Amino acid sequence: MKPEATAGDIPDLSLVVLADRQGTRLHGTITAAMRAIGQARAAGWSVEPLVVRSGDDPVTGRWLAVKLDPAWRVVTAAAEGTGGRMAGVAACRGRLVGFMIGGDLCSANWLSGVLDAAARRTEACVWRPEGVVSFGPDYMGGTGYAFDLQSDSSLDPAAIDRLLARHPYSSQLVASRAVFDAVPFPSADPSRGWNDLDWWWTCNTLAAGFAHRIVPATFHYQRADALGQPLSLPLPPEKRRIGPSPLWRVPLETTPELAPVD
Amino acid sequence: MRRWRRIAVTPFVALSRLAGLPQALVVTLSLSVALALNPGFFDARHYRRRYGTKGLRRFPRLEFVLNGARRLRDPNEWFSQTRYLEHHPRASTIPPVLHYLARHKSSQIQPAAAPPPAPPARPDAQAPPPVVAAAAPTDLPPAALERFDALWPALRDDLHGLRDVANQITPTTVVRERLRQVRPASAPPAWIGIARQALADLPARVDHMLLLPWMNISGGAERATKRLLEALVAHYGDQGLCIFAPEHVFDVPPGERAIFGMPIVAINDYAPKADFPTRLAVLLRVLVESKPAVLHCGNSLVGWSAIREYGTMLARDSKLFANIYSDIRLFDGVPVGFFWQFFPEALDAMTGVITDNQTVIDRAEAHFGYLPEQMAKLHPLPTPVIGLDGADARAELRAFRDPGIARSLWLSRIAIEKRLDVLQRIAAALPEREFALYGGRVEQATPVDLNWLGEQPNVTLHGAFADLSAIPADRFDSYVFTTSAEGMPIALLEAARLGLPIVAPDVGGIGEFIDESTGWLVSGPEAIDEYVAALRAIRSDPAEAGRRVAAAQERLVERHSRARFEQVLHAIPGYLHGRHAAS
Repeated sequence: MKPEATAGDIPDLSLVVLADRQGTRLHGTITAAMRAIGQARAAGWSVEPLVVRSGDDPVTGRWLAVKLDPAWRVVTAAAEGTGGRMAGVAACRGRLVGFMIGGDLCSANWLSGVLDAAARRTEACVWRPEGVVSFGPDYMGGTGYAFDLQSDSSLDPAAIDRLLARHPYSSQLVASRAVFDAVPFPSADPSRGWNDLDWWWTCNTLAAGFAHRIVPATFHYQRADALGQPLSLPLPPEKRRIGPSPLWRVPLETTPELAPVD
Repeated sequence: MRRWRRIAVTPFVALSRLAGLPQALVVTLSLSVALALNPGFFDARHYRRRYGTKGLRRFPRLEFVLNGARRLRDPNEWFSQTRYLEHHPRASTIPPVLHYLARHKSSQIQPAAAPPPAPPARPDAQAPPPVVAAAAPTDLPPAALERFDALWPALRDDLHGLRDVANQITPTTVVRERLRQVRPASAPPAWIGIARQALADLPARVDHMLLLPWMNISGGAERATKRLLEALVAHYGDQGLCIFAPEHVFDVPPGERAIFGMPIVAINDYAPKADFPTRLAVLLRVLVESKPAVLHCGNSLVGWSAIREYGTMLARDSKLFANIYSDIRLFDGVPVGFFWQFFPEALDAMTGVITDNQTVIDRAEAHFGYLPEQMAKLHPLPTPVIGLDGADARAELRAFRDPGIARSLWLSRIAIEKRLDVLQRIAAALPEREFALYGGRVEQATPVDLNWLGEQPNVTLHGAFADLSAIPADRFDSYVFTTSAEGMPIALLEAARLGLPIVAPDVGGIGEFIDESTGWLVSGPEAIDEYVAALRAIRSDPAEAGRRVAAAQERLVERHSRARFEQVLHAIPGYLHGRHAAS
C-alpha cells in the first residue's frame, strides 16, 4: 500500500508501452497493463499510461487510433535508436518510469509490486520482475516456451563475466527517473552490430552503480518466436551484441559498489 | 525394415491420392503395418483395461487400427496421442500414433529407453489418467524448480486473467510443464574474462593499434614491420600506439617488450591455449571497446578474420589497414596467404592496404578486377634497408670487390617457397663454385628438406645470423637468390647494400629492383640454365658485375632509404592519426 500521498501532480509511475509493428497484439499488452494499473491505483498509487509509437506501421497506427483507451496518451517517437525509450522518458512525468514492449504482457501485481518495493528504498535502482514467461506463436505448436527466474544484480567478478556474456534480464523494467537521467538508453546501431540495447543499458547502469532488484512473485509474459527468442529481438544469444560499456573496464578483482541488497 | 516403414506410412496421404484409395483405408493399412513392424508397441492388456471390451474392443488391436487411433485412444501405458499431438501439430492430419511410428526406429520405441518427447497428458475424464514419467530433465537446478513450483499457483491465477488475450499462456497442465523446463544457467565463455584482462592492460585511449602474430621471426615481413614500428613511435611518441597480439604463436614474453617503446598486449598473456573462436571474440570486443582510430593488421590471421567477417562494422570507428606481400601459391598451385583468402573479401571495408612492391598491386587488379577507387586504396611502401638511424645512406653501401673466387652467398629465411631444391640443382651444375647458405628456419613453417646438403660438397649451411654485419661479404663474388613466391625480398636489398652482384628470378616484386642494368634477372624460379649462365658471366666479367652493383645501389638509395620510407608512409591517406603527432 502507498505509505503516504504523493505531493503535487507528479505521478508515482509512468508506464510506457513501446509500440512499433505489433498491430492488434497491442490489445493483450494494453489489457494486461490496464489490469496492472488498476491494481496499483487500487492501492493508492498514481500511474500515468503512455504509448510511444515508433515507425509507421499502418495496422499499429490504426489500432492505437481506434481501440486504445482514451486514458492513454500516444507519443510518436522520431527514429532515435532506442526504440522510443528515451522519447518515453522525455514525454512522461512519473517518479518511476516503466517500460513494456508492445505485444508482451505483465502480471497484475507488477506495478503495485514495484511501487510498494520502491517505497521502501531511498536509492535509485532498476526493478525487474522475478519470473519471465516466454511463449511461442501458438499453443498447439508448443514451441518457444520457457521460464526464466531473474535475480538481484551482483557485481562480484564472476557475475560481471556472466552479465557480459548474456543479458540476465528481460526487457520489462521500472526504474527511477534518476537512473535514466544518469544513464540514458544507448542507441542501437545495426551498422556496428550493436543490437541489444536493453542488455547494453543494463551493463551501463550497473557500471554506474545502479542496482537491479527483483520484485518477488511478479511476472513478465514475453512473446517469443518458435525458437524461444523474444519477438522484440529475435536473435540467438550468440548474435546479440552490445556497444562499448564501462562495465568491460571494471577492474578484474574488484566488486563495484552497489547499494546493499535486502 | 526402416525403409519399408517409411514407404508404408510416412507419405500415406500422397499414397492414398496416388492410388485413388480412401484415406481411411490407407491409414488403416499403414497403421497395421507400423504396428506389425513394432511388436510390443501396442499393449492389448492396457487397451482393454483402459477402454473396456465392449463391442469391437473385444479385439483391441483391430479396434485400435480401425477406430481407436483416430479417436486419439492410447496404444499403451506410456504413449499419449493427445500429448503427442500438442507437440506435433502437423500430425493432426493422421492419427498421431502413426506419425510417431513413422518417425522413430523400432529400437527407440521403448518407454524405458526413450519416453515420448512430451510432457504428461492432461487428465482424461473418460478414463483414469495414464501413468507417465515426469518430463523434467534431471539436470535442472532444484532450487529453480522449487521456486517455479512455489510460484505456479500465483502465476496460474494471474494467467487465467489473460488467457483470452494471449491464449498461448492459458495455464493448462501442458503449459505448466512446458514452463517447468527451467533453463539451467550456463557458465560464461572464456573469452569474456580474457577480453576484460586485455582491456585492463591496454591503454584507455588507442589511436593506432597494430595486430601482429609474432615479432621475433627474422622474415622480411617482420623486419619491415620493425621499420614501421620505429616510424610509428617517432610519429606518436609514447601515447596512443599499441600492439595487440591475438595469435597463439606470439613470441615476445612480457619481460622483453619494453624495447619496442609501446604497450604490447597478447592473448597468450592470459590464455595461451585459447582456441581460434575465442581469440576472434576477444579481439572483436577489444576493438569495440578501444575503438582505435587506426587498426593495422600485419599478417595476423585472427585480425584478417575479424576484418573479413566484421570489417564493415569495425570500419565505422576505425580506419582499417593491412599488409599484403605476394600472390603466393604453393605445391601444385594451392592459393595460400592473405592475398587470396582475405584480401578480396575485406577490401571494401578497408581504408588501405600496404604492400612492399608494386607487382602485387598490379596482380590484384588483374586477378580481382578492382575498380580505380578500389585500386586507390593499395599503397606500395618500399621497405627501408639503409639510412635507418638517420645516417648517410650512401655511406652504408659497400662497393663491389671481386674476391677472385667463384663463391656465392645465399641469404634468406629457410622456407619451402625459397626453393632450396633449385639451389641444389644450380650447385650440381656448377661444381667449381661454392655456395654458402645463411638463414634461419621458422618453427611454425612447413619443414624444408635439406638432406641433400651432405651429398652436395660445394654447398655449406651456416644457418641463422645475428645481423648483416655477420655476413663476410668480402668472401663472395655474387648473391644468388632462389624463390617461387615473393613480395620485395629484403635479403635481396641487403645483398645490394653488401655490394654483391645479384642473380634472382623474376618472381613477385623482384623485377622491380633487378633488371639487366642492376643485376641478373632470370626468367623464373626453375631457370637453372639462366642461373648458371649468370654466375659464369659474373665470374668472367667482374667489371660488368661492379657496374651493375653500382646501379643497384643507386636504386637502393632512391627507393629504400629511411627518408623515402617516411615520406611515402606519411602520404598514405588516413594511415597516421593526427592527434598525437610528434612530428
